[in-house]
Amino acid sequence: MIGNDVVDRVFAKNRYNVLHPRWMEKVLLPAEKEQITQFDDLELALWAFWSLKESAYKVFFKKTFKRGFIPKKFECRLLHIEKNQINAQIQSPLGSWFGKIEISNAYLHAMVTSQKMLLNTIKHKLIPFKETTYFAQSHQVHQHLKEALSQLCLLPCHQLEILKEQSVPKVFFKNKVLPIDVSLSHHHQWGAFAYL
Amino acid sequence: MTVEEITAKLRSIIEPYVEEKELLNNIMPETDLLEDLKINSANLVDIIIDVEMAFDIEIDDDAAEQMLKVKDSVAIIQERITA
Repeated sequence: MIGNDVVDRVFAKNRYNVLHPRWMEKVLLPAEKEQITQFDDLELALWAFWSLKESAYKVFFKKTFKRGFIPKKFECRLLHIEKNQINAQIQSPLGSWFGKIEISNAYLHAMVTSQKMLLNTIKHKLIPFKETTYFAQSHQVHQHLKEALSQLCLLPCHQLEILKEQSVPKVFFKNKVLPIDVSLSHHHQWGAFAYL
Repeated sequence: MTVEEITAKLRSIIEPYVEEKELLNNIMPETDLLEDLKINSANLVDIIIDVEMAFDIEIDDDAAEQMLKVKDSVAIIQERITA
């Protein structure tokens, strides 16, 4: 299963309490706090952990349908840190999961899967928004995803639908669910989808 | 503080994090901060920190886990104010 999360780095700067001492207390575990010393950019480190935890939560929700603010239930260990990509292992209540984050100056895009072998098979896309309202942006991400899936499945785009079932996004073709695992995210000027 | 007073104060804390302001018009006890108000999940941390400072209380991890709906958040705040 897959979960993803995009963070608009430009928007996030100075707009969140991320540098507030309580933020770390509420989100990070002791071993994670030790790892942030590897970063020159503290904000980048904190958003990296957040986006991994949020992606892991989406996988957790798909498997359990349990909701909650539970970032500390996902312990992230950063395995390999490069300028544009981080690989990570996530200890979740349901076992060991794997994640990667793609990084640019504009965004972070985290993707987590419950199986290591799936990590390199993820298809994904980042979408810079022109629209400014939540609903228009959401529509735009759906449209891009439908176009991608239309090419993948050789099905007409207008007959594909992305609908939520029990708060989990599913792909429908003529009222039938297709066996494609999708995750969608958006944050201010960036949208993203990932699928397996 | 009454439930109404806590709800009003909570609403003023939440408001800056709601991008689509018209969604604030129908806040009910059952309103879900993420699903109904479309608040970005990253802002939940901000809201919890803001609530702690505004009400001068501490919200531990177990309580924070429950803070998804307005009624649950109000109950958690009320419990801690009166503790």
